[in-house]
Amino acid sequence: MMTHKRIQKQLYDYLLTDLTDEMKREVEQHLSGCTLCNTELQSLRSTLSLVNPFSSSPADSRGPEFWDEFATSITERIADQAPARNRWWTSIRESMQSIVVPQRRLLISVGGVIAIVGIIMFGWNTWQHRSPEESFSSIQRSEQIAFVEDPLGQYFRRSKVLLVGLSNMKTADGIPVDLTAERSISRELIREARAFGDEPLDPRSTLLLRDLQKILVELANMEQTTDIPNVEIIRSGIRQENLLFKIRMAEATRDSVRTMQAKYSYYEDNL
Amino acid sequence: MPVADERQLIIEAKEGNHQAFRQLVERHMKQAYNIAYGFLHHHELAQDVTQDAFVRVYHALPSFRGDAEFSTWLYRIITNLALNRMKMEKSRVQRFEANGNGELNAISRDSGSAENKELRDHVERALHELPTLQRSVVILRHLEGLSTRQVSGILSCSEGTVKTHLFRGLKKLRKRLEYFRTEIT
Repeated sequence: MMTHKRIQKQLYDYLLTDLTDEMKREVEQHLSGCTLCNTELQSLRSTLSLVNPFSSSPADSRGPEFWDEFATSITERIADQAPARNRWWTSIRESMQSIVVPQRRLLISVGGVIAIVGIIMFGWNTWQHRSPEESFSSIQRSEQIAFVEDPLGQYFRRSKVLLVGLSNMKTADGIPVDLTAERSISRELIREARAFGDEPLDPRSTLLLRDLQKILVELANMEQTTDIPNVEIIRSGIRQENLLFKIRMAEATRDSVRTMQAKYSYYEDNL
Repeated sequence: MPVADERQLIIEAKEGNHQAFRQLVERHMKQAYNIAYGFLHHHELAQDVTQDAFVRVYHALPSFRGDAEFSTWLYRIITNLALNRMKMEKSRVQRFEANGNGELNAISRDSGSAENKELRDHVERALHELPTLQRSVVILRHLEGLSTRQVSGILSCSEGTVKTHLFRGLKKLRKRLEYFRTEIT
């Protein structure tokens, strides 16, 4: 005999006549003697009369031209992504190989000699021309540079570490992946990103933050232990948005800005 | 389209055949769009999320083993992306309103017929107040008409869980809509 809870779980399908004959008989038998479940049935019926599926499907409100364009834009996005990067990189690599490969031994020897000479000259120059005071000053300057705070830069660096770890994570068929640490870090990063929402940022950083949030939210919402296809989905999102490249560019830009700021404040203090 | 044909398309798409992938897109794009719209109630966001999902699917194809149906896998991605997008849009609205810029409806609500607009707005608000899993089940099972089996595959839970969440979700909706029903009867 079915309990009230089990009957109530079947009521939706019962109203939609989506039950097997046997199940339908069991439900009706129960309903014939149960006021509680009958009340639930009536309530559900009235709820469904209010919460109707769309009378016309949202997709139908879009014309055939929209759908033709929709499919085309997807295939174009896919075609534009990897092949363009491969062409660019392949041509560079092939040019380098055409020079380097035939002359490999000679190039290695010459490169080694140049490196040794360069090291000797640099060390000699430094030893000759730098007084103890200058050496100490340069250390002070580099420490000042290091101490110019850059919360956004630190945020990008931590995001990069997370994404690189995820991209390089070893996976094996059939073995679930534990994303506990990654989920926790992505949630921290999502919380921290809210602080940047009120700051005036350059357009590139704003866009990068937005693209990062898409992936971080997806990762934060993943199951703690998940299967490989879900990890692949995140990885494909990282590749699709070209996130690691964008973060490296942002870091390079911010490092040079921080260096300039530090030098400026150093000179201001010491003039 | 027969299952065998779809399997062949998937094999060819995995090998980099863009035309085969396009056929898969054309077969599933409208239902995928409807699911995204069911969560977001915004055509542009639904279009954005659906296109993103298909591009993600293409790049993740090598890992698709065919244990589940392609549609189940695709709709799972759509559901996750749509839920994530909802959270992002919601926090953007909250920041905008917190800055004293007045009311802003970041997710514009597309209206149906005039007499149903108020009801649909209220249903939509009530729907968005549901816990994530209950909301997902109500949208996928009731509004989109997917089978219990499909929904259980998309949400990676048992069919019994789907039925339980559907029942609880609709019950909560009923409580939220109770006063409205009293007004219109």
